[in-house]
Amino acid sequence: MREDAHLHSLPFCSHSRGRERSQQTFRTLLRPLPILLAVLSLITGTTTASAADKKVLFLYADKSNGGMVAYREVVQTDMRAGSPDRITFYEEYMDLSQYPGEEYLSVLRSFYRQKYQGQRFDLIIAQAGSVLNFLTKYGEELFPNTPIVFGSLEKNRIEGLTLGPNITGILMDAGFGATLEAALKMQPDVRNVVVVSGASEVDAKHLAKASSQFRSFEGRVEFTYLTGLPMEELEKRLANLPAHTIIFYVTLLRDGAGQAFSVMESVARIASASNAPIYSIIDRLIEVGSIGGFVLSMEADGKEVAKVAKRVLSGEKPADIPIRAGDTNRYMFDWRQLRRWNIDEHKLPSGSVLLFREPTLWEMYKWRIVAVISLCVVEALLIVWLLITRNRRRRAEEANKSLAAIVESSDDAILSETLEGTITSWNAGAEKIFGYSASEMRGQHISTLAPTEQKEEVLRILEQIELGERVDHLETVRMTREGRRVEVSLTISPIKDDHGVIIGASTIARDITRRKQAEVEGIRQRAELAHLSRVTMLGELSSSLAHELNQPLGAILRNTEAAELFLQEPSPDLEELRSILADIRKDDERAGAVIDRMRALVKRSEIEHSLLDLNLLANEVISLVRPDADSRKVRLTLEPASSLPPVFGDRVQLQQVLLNLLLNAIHAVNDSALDRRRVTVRVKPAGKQVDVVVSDTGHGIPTDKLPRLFEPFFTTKQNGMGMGLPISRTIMKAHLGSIRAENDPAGGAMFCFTLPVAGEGSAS
Amino acid sequence: MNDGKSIVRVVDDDASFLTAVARMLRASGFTVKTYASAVEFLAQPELDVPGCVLVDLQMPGLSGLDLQAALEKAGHLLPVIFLSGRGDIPTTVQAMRRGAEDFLTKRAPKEEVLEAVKRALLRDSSERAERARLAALSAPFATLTPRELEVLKHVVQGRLNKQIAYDLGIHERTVKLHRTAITTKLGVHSTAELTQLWIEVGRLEG
Repeated sequence: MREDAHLHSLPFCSHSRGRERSQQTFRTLLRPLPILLAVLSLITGTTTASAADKKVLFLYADKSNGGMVAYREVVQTDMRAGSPDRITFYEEYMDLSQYPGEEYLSVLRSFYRQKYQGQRFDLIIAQAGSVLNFLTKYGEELFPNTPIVFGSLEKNRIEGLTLGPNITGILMDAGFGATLEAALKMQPDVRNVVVVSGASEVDAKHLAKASSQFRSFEGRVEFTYLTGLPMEELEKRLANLPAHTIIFYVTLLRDGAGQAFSVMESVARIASASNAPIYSIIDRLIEVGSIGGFVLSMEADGKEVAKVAKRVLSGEKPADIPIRAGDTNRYMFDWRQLRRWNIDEHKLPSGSVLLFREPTLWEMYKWRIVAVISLCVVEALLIVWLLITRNRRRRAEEANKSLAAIVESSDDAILSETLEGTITSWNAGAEKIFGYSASEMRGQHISTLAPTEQKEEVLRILEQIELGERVDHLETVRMTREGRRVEVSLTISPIKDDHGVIIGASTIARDITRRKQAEVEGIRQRAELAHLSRVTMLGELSSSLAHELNQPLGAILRNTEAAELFLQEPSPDLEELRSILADIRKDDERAGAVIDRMRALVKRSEIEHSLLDLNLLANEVISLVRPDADSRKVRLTLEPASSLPPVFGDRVQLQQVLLNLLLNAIHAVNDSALDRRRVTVRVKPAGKQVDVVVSDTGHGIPTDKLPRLFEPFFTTKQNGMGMGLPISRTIMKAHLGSIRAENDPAGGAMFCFTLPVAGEGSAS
Repeated sequence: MNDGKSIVRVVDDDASFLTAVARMLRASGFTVKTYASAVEFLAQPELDVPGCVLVDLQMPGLSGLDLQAALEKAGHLLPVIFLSGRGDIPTTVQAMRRGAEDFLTKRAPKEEVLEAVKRALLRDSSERAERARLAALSAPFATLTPRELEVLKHVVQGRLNKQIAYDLGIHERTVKLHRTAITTKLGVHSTAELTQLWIEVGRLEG
């Protein structure tokens, strides 16, 4: 009778072989356990020392099916593991679900009495509640004094049974509450739970248990109980469930129309009709459309049973082994259903078993993929490296080529030599400047190019290069092949090898003959202009110069006249005549000195730099203009520096600058009141410079004219040329000095020119 | 005019030239005194001694022109001969306008120098004689009373006694009495003689 099928008999239902993968998963999970147990039993020494033949009888409630085979395998494997005994297993498939009723039981009783007469079993494993029920009635008669171990039994199922001392086993608990809790965690937005149950007595029992476990969820979700509906009606109701709804399948062994179903069948029907996930507490239902839950696991149950069975086989009395609740439930879910209902795997309870998981390509071919990708990456890197290397080499080649082209087309001579001075390369520019061809010069010593007096310089440069120092723009002289001297500017740098060791020198020589000529020409022109300006100034001074000359000349004349008069006397005073002649000579020298001074200013002399004392120079210039100043009633004073470093420069040109400033100053005070006709020249050292300041007590320079003062042809004088100050500035620049004008706050103008102290960056 | 009394004073800051000029002048028979600057010259106490001054036009401090001006201001009427090293026109003009005796360059021939010195000494002595004569002439005027001097001024302008009496608010007879006293004191005998004397003395007093 089908309606007699009990929940506890369900694990015996078939696991189809097509679901082997899931079984393999189980086995894989369980494989290490027997070994572990064996080791444990060895250590604890619970096994009997000598091997014995043991007989174990399995009594199954249902027909044989794949699920049961798997179950038996679990139990057998676990029992054999670590056991010294040779265990023989016997099986009886009692088919109690199919044929409920006392009549059938008595048929089985007489069948087994005959079948097992004279047989003695060491242990009977009663797989389900209905088997245990049978054994409590006929066990002692059929299998006297044989220990019985049961499993997969709900606690409430043994309450009505009287269990003899030979019986022990494992109890289990239906995980309705735990399943719902897990469901709500996996689908937090669920609001409605449709509880499906059948119309049979067993269905009612399970529903009672389920609803009692659901009580604590009241308020969190809305429960709808669909109990005892005809299957067609149920299917319709489940087809259009609102969103946020799940189905909780308790059991449906008979529908409202009286039709019997196995749990597998009813779940399959419901699953194909409904539009919501179906949670249940039986593992096998996952195969036919349930998403899963905290399910009763046949494997787990089998292991628990095996544990107890081994104790019994090893000699423990069943009465000494208490009946206890086993660890028989597992969280199990269908991976495909999770995907269908869009449930995140991570929300599953920890330790969940996922069934029917399709391994990803990655999982299937992980190592192959890794290998292929690694290979690709390595290959790609190799290619990139090759490309980079090739590119770099090509760029280097291009750079080399263009560098070579630059070197070859340069007007400058570019050559390289070893540290010993042997020429190693020679460009076209070098050939043009020096006249030697590359083939002639390669291998020659670099000093070939130096004139005799410069040979030492060449060696000195090589020493410098060896120390890692550069030579920058050294202006010197070299010789061409024809023996002509060329003015060159040399820039020489060390050449280093890959390790940074200096192995030679590169020389860039620029022909600066033309530039030098231009410089000389510029200097000549400046000198010419300066000369012109001096002549002009001398013109201004002519009347006072005449005075300077006429003074001694006049004295000479008077002395001569006096001498003549003395000579007319009968006895001339020779002593007097001698002193007259001495005076004449003295005055002649004086006149000569004046002329020399004048000539020095006027003559077109070569520029000649020497060390100069600016105190002395100022004194000379002042003596030149003093007559003029005197005649204009200008008080001219010199305030020399008490101690003064020398400057380096051209005497005449520097005199000219001061002379110009003095004449301007005298001119500036010419019209002032007598007591305001003062011109002062101050010489004073200022750090690494010497200042010469010419100040006057005139009206000063109008502020708007100050900036233009040094411009050519700018003049404030009526007859001025406007060349004096520009020329002075040019002279000062050539001496690396400066000249500036400002107004004295006390009145009058102040001109100052500054020269570097000799040796402090002065002109050479 | 080497009378032995006149002194030729030479002023020049150039010692060499000073010595040379002095030598030549002494050799030519003049009494010479030399001074290195205008200040030194002006400080000497013998400015009344007859003679002349040869002075360098360009000297630091007081120049030749300054010296001339100082002499004039002090009332010493020594003739001044200027010597110049260059002889630029503006200075020359200024010097001559002030009444320079002569203007010579430093390298003027001896003859010119001697000529100029002689001329200067001559002028000095003649001027001194003239000044002495006029001083003699003007001495009696000092004896006139202020009223007599007043009347005299009217007389030499050719005014009649009657007019003078009217102008001065005195009696015509009193005018006559004054005229008699004047002619007696001055030792002249006619109005014409009186007028001539007045002009001569007047020129002297400027």
